[in-house]
Amino acid sequence: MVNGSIHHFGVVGLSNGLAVMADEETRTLWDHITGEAFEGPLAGKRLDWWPIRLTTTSAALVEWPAVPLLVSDYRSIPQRVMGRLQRRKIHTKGWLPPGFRATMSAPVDPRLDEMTQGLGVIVDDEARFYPMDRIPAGGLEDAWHGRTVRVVRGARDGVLAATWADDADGEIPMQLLTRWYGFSFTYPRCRIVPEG
Amino acid sequence: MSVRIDRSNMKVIKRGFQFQPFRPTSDGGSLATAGLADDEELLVFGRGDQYRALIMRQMVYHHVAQGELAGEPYLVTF
Repeated sequence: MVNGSIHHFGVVGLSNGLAVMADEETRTLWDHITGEAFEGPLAGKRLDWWPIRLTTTSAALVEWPAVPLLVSDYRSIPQRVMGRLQRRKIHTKGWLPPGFRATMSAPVDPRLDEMTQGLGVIVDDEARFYPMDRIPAGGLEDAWHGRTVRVVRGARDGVLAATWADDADGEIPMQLLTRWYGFSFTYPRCRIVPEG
Repeated sequence: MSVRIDRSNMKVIKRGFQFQPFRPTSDGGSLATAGLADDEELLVFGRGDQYRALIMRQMVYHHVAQGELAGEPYLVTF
C-alpha cells in the first residue's frame, strides 16, 4: 500500500547481489529487504515490514497445522532451472549466481565468509547479524537497548529465530534469515554476535 | 531504519519485470495434504492470526508474491 493505493511489484535487477524491485505504477525502485524506495517518483517512501519465516514442511505443520499453502501454477524453463538449482537454501553453503558479483559496489565485508548463513535482526537504528554456525545448541541471549533478545535454533528445522526474552505478548523483532554478503551491504558495519 | 547504500554498480531493466511475480488468486489448499516432503523449504508469513505458506523453490524464481490476507495487502519478497 503506497499513498493509500495498491501498487504492484516485481524484480527489475540487482544491486550488491540483491534483488531490486520496482512498482508497475510509477517505476520507482525499491530495496527488497528494507522496503525503502530509493530512486524514482516515490523515493523516500517506505513500506511497512514484518518478519517472514523460512522453515520446512514438518516444522511448519507443528506450529501451524492448518496453514494454507499458496502454489504457483506458473511454468517456464527459467523457473524450472532456478527451482532445481536452489531448492535448498537453509543449511546449504550456497553460491553466488553468475552476474551477482558484478553488481557489488565494493568487496564484501571480510569479517565473515560472504555466504555465511545467519539471522539478521534490525531494531530501530541498529542491525546485528547472528551467524548460524556460532549459535550454541542452547541458543544465546543478547542485551539490546535495555532489553534482551533471545536467539534460538528451531528444534525441527534448525532455523534461527529471535524473540524478546521479556515479551509475553509474542512480539518479535524484525528479522530475516540471510547470507552475510546481502546483510552487510544493506547494513554496513552491523555488529556480529557472537564476535569471532 | 534508514541506511545509505552504495548502489553504484546496480543493473536494472527499463521495462517489465525480470521474473513473473506470483499473484495468488485463491486462499490456497491445506499444507497438511499437499504431499510435500518433510524437508521441503517454505516461507511462512502472517497477518494477525492468519498465516500462509509459499514453496521456496517457487519463490526462488518469482522473488515476489503479492496478494491480500486478513483484508490487507501483502508483499512477500525473497
